[in-house]
Amino acid sequence: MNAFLLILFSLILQSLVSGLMPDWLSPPDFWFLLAIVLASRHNPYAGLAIAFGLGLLQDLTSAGYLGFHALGLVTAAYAFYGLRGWLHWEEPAARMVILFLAFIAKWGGYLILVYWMRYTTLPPSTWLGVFLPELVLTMLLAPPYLYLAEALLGPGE
Amino acid sequence: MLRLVYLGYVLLALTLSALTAHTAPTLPAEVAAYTAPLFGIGHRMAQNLRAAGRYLFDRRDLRTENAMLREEVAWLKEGNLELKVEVERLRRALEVHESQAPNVVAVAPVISEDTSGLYRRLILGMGDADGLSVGMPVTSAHGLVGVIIETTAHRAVVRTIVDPESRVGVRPADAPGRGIAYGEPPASLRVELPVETQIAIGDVLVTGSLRGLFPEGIPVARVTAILPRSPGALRKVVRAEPLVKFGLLEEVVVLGKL
Repeated sequence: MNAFLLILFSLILQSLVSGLMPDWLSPPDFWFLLAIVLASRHNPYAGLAIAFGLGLLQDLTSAGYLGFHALGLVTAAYAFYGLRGWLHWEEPAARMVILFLAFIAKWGGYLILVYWMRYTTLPPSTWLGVFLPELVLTMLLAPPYLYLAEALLGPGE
Repeated sequence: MLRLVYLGYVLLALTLSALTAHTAPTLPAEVAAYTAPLFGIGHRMAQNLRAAGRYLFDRRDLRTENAMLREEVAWLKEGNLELKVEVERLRRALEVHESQAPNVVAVAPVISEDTSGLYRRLILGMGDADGLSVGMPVTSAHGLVGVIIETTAHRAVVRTIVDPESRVGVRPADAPGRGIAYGEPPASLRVELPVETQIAIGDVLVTGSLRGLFPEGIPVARVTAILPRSPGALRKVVRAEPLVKFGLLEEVVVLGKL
């Protein structure tokens, strides 16, 4: 029930923050943070399935290609499980490093699908105008979001 | 084992995207239309917060002025609010009607926008039942917004001109030379023009494709940079900023299909 509330809260928060951002600034990615929070509380098989499902939902709500965000989020979750073996998710500094690298992995997933669909990569303007602001804002808003998620779901494993 | 599961998801995503590429955005747009009210909550809250922020910033003596004005205008507002809204809608429609095209179909409210950083799409609060259909150009008093790519009974999805899937035929407002404007999120356009086109920073681009999706002469964007041309290049490439601020749009004007 609380997980459902967190999903609902995150989606409304995403649209709220997106609406508050000026046009030229890409919003932070709460879908990504939500996928990582849920992945941190489930075993890897369930976590990958949840991330993939969230990504599909994002594809459906964005009226875009099915599988695009799904591949991004499942790649981020996969990276998360890999990194969790090396770094301690419970430590705040390590947590930020994991989030940073998982975010990069998410965009790696995007790149795979963009290349699959168009035989090309993303233009430099997308890296500067979307990737960079999204990364910075997501990392800045990650600590309060994780705090809220923990308050809602209780302490993790 | 986990690696195999992950690879399975990769294959599934690639297969899904390939299978639905021809139907996209038909299938997702159906869901987007139904989930719009959920995202509309945050979108509407954000719009209200931005409006409130602007108002408070502009009017520091808000409280005093508000007390003075409240009494004076309360009765006027009550009687005229509905009328004012209607007049404003008609004024915008007329403005577009006179300056852009004579076939206004509807003035539709923007109820939500997509939450992806890579796509740039808007959800309108009108659909099939209100006469909207796929392929209709969407514009505003400031300039071109995009095109309707999917509709349901009471919702429509608009692909804005900065969406990466968007292609708009354009020409400089005051010079010859037709080209194509490609959407580049979050808020710019990459325009390819013939090399002979005379264009400078600050010039306005308008719609200009022959037998295209959009009526001729609708303002689209302002040139912000002229990219250096590589030797032997067949096109001149410029970057442009849309004239419409998509985040501030509350209503748009839908035009009939050409």
